[in-house]
Amino acid sequence: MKKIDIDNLDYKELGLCCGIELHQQLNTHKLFCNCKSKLINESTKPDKTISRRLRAVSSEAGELDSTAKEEQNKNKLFVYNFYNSCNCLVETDSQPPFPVNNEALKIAGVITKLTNSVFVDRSYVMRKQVVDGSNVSGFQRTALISTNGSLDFDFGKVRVDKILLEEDAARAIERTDDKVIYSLDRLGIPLIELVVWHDIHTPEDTKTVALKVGQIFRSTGKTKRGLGSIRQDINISIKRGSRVEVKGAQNLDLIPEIVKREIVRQLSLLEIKEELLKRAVKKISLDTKKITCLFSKTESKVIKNSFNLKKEIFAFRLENFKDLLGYEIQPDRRLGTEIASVLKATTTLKGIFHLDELPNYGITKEDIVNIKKEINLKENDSFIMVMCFADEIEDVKRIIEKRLNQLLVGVPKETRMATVEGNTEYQRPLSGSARMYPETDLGAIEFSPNYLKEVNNSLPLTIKEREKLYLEKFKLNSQLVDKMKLSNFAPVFENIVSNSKISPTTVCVFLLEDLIKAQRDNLIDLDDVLYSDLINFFLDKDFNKVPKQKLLECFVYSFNNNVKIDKALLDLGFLEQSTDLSKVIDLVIEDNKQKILELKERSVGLLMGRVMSETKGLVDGKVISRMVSEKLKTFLKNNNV
Amino acid sequence: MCALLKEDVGKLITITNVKEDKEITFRGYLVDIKDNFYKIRLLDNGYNVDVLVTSSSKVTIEDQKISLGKPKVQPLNYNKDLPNIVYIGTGGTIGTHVDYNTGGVFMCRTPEEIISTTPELEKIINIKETKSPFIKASEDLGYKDWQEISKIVYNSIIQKEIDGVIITHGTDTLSWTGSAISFLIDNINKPVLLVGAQKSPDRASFDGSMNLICAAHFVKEKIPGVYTVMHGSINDDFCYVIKAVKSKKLHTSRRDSFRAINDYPIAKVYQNGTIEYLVNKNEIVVLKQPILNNLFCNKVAIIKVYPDSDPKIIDWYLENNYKGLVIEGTALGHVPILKTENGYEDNSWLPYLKKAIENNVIVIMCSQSIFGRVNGKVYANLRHLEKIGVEFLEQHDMLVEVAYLKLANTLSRFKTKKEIINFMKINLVGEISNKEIAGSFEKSLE
Repeated sequence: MKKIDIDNLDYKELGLCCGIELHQQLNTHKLFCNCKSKLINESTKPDKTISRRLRAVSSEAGELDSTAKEEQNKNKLFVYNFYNSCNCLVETDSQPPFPVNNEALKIAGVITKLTNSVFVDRSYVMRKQVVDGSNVSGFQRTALISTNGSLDFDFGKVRVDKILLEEDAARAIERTDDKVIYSLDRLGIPLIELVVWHDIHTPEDTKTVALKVGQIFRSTGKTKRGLGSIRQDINISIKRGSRVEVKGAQNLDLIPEIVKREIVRQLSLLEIKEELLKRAVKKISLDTKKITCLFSKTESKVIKNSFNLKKEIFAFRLENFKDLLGYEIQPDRRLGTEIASVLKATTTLKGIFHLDELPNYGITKEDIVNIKKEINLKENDSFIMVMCFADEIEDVKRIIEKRLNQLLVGVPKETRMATVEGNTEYQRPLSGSARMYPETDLGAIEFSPNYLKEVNNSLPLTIKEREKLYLEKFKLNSQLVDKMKLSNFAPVFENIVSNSKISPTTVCVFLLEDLIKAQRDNLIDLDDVLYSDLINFFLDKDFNKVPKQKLLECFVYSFNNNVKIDKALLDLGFLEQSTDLSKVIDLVIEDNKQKILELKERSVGLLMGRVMSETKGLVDGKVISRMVSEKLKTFLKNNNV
Repeated sequence: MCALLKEDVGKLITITNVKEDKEITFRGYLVDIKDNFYKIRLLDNGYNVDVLVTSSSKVTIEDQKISLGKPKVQPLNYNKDLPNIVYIGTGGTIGTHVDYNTGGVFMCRTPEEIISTTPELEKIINIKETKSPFIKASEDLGYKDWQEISKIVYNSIIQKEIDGVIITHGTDTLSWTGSAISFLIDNINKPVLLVGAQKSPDRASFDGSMNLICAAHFVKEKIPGVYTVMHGSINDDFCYVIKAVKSKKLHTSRRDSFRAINDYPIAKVYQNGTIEYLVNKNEIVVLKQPILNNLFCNKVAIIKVYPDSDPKIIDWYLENNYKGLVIEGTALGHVPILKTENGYEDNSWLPYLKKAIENNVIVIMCSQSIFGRVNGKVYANLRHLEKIGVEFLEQHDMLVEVAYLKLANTLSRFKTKKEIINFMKINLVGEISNKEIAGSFEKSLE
């Protein structure tokens, strides 16, 4: 059997088609309630914990949905960590949703415009069934906002199929066999989902498109930043393979690798199919053989541990499967791992052992001989062994059998999860549209002329337009331009600079560096800072009284105490009372009378230095300079100089 | 353009419009037509959208029609070792069915369909009979409905082989119905359990199943009386079994909105069948033969009093021949007295209540405080009321709706004022507690 060479893939010949679904969290309050969208450190003690179980529900066709059924198999208890600062009864499924968050709707509108998409005439919030516990209600709310968009790239046009506005799910923070603990902080945070049609035909272009869409999101200035705030799912298909949806690609740089490795996996599975055909393997059915007794004297820690849990050991003979389980289907990933990953996702099993990886894990050569004998293994056969509770084995057998039989057909359509190396692991079957039905607690979403006007008024500059504006008009240095043009703060920055005479560099450094530092030092929670807070601060009538060195301190104080600048300056003792300054200058002049009369106008430098040191840097140099010059002039005049 | 009609709803259609110089096409099942908006359920992703259809729209229809699924019906098995019950379905959220096309919620599930949401039931009880006298939202129920339900309950519990009755019901007036049954049937000798849901069965987070399971477990306890069985906490862990006459929906939307008022719940029932009694169950008297009285006088009203409220409303009730009034006074049972040096201000309730009582109307005082007892003595203003004949029933602690239902029943049982008042004072089914236990108030809100 040949090994697929990852570095020599002909994407055109393979007929590679990639699409991307990007999910971006918005930096505004939750989508269906007034709670703040902020994440809480997992180690923070929750204000309340709530435990629930979900039930299987039938779809409208009266059948249990396949995804739902698989999750139901797990029969888990879901524990939800509730935080008063970002949760209310809505997230606990104890109160109907509030009307959709207008700001989030507006941002969805802006992204619609930026991707040349067209609003639907009227939309409805839908319930998408999710029964893994990540949505307390058992469904995620989602609405179709626009369709038929497109973006231009060097390599051609890429269609934006649709833009959706939906609520984020709760965050799993601990999983055990019978329980999942979720933090409710993330549940309900508005998410934009943008679906790029599978018009992309190389791994690198897939990354380029993801990058561009990410930039469009950020240009609104209303997106969350940081790990997990944007998530990409990639749809990958090749002509002879199947459509596979890969979730959890958080790192853009990894996207080309994920695409390549998924192609390799699909091609490898096709290789296996060919091989099985050659070996004349038809339908695969397994016999379960309990082999617990073979290990009564084992030294294997894994097996001993499972005995402590009262688990049994079973083996399945795989006829004509010699060397196939050890066949590498992705770099460092074998067919055996693939089967194990399906079991991991659907049962409580942590993995399997198979012949091609043994002896290992304390399982000895003698053990293997014994197993072979016990299950009557022939030369061309292989085996899988599992450790599980006796009542699980039927499910385990069924799942392995199903997966093995899929090898005879080809690549199964499914949802997979990206690993950190760029491989993919089985997650669940592709979910169909049967999982969707209307949210009964909300009315229609209208895109009124007023709404459209607001959207048009909120359109941000493009990155290119920003570059030009910042460099040429605002005269920022290129380093700051590069940072600010991609920053969430760009619209705030533009607003402040355009509406004041404050130096763009001052504003820029404050927004990009000082605020982050304040956040890092726990002086301020940036999640709580609204753009209007920043704009109001800079445009405050007393802003010019704030000593430059004390900008951050003053903002932090006025924000945390909800006071205006004048009060903050007073409380902090920064108030440059013109009378005080005037007094200080008068005293300095008085003390240096002789020198001044000697140096005349040239004594300005001396006076400035003294006054600056007297005021300890609390007063803006410009203000001092202006007043010193005036006073000096008067003094010289009064002394007839 | 081809105009579609309501008859076309359910058909697969394709609409193409030109918008912003683009041809926008939607294909899906027609769900509804309102004005010029066609609501369709998109074929490829299941989203619902409205598409504006104008003279320039291209619309094509395919004959393929969406087939609407019906809720599954579970065949019921019989196991001779399990208790037998009669199941009565009356509507409510627990019996809703979502129309997956329009998103409309309808109360249309038959008992068999409701049971199918909770297949676990067949391992706990035998459902000998299912009855559905009507399917209504609980806010639409009235005394005739209570009489109808009571008749079914009575006919069920007099059967020897029946161990109890489970009634599914909308939650808004769940305890109203429970209290009504408590008075319309005397000597209820078997458990009659009312169960509802705050979340509809379409969601995986449906709470009604657990409530049904817990109610089913409680039947085998053979504790006579009418009880509500609903979530006891915000978790899916246990249900409280609460005397219907002491049970009240204290929250608009939480699963655990039913609380025992001036009382302890009888028991906690867990999903696995574990039962913890919160009262001494040996004190619960087993009664002999039930009697259906089914008496209800519908000329009784509840009047809520509040600052500046207009007492002339009483005149309207007198003109319309009302026989009983339940006044929801403030705290201990106050109404605005507004005494002046020479009499009373125009808005004083005292003269109006006096007139009503002189016209042989029974006036019962309750409190809008929800918890605690009324009292006719503590303040002078209360004594004025008691003096003119407003009944505080020896400091009773009946919930206002319970007092209303009891009075409506009592007025039909007796003729004289004395008999009526005496009967009202008797604790028939636990509606009046003889003492308030320290901690029951805190416990209720825990």
